[in-house]
Amino acid sequence: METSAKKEIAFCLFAWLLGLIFTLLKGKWLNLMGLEFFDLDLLTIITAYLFLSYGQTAAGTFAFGQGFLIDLFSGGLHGLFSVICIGVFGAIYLGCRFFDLQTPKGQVILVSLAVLFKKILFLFVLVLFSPQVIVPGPFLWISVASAIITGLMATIIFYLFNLLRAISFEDTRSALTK
Amino acid sequence: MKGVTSFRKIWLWVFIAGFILFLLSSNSGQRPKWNPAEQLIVQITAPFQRFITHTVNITEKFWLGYFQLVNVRHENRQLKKEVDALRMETIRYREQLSTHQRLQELLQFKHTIDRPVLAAQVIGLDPTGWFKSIIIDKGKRAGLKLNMPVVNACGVVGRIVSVSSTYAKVLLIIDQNSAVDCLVQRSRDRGMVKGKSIDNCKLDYVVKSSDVAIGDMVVTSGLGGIFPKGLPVGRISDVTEVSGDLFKDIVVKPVVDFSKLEEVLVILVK
Repeated sequence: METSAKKEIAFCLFAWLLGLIFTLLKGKWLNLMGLEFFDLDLLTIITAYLFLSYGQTAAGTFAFGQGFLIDLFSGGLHGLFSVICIGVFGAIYLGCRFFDLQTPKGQVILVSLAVLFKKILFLFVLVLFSPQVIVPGPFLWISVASAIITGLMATIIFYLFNLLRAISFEDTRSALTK
Repeated sequence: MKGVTSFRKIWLWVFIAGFILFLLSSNSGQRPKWNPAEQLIVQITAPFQRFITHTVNITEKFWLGYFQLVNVRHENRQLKKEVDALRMETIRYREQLSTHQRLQELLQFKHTIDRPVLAAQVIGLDPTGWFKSIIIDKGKRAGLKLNMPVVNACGVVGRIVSVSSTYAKVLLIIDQNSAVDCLVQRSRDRGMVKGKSIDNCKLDYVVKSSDVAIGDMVVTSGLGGIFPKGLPVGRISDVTEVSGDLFKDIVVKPVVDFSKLEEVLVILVK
């Protein structure tokens, strides 16, 4: 296997691990901080980054896998978050036709819209399958705040991921030339 | 020739010794004084001496001070480490004391239940914020099964909804998918405590004619087939009567603080 392919796999594994840690820590974090104006949706950012860097399969698998993990640890409907995360992937896939994910502006807009779509889809599915659900009053504002914060953070996280990959590739190159 | 040289040496030493004796004898009976020539020499050399002594003193002070400072810094670092270690120890002791108190409360509560129970630790909370569930560190291997009731020292926590060999997921009573058949302890009115995914629950199906008041304790009725009878669930915090409705609108504040769950007891089936 080529070294670049190995590096790609390593980065994807890193992304999965990061997503898992984020999911597992989020419950504790929400419990401490309460809901959730600063709800950074790291999973959407990683999905968008994987889509940009490694294509549909990597991003789609990641989205589904992370959604499934949330379903496992959550007390909600089985499959709810798998559906929602795949929905986010779909939103990114479609959004890429209208916005350029390679530019910071495109990243902010697309990730923000994807998060907003995720919240709306979540509410829609929840209301559809659990009519007794009580939606908190400021849900809309929380969703908008979360979307904007996640969108703004996306450019920074994309940059950090690029940096990480660049360092990683530089290491490989220097190792090969030795 | 050699004998002549040694003879001269002896005489030289005798002369020096004699001169010293003369000098010493000249001091007897009076305080030693500098003669003018000596005073002149002293006047010239003393400032140098003062300068040298002063410089040496300053250097000595600085040098010693520096080394002392280094020692103080080292000592300070060590003391800080010791303080940190002691602080950590204190925190650990406090934590152990707190755990001990909680476990003691659990033990006391355990005696009030006539079924076998199993203690478990909460290792995870629901990652979504929308649903209310926890993950505990006991599973099938410890004898846990679906729908087993989970309590803590204060009262009802929830029931097991998923179980693996070593872990289990517990749906809390405040989750919107949860419903527990209950009684108002004082008036014995029956109702269904349902979660709202917030800190409070509601008590449904309590008819308007019932005698329910704020502060009444709500306990499990034992009729749902899951929870044993008489376990505390919460206290009624609000009662309203909406015109046109058959039932009262009752809010129940759970007795369990779900934000601070650490250890729970799973009530095993007999």
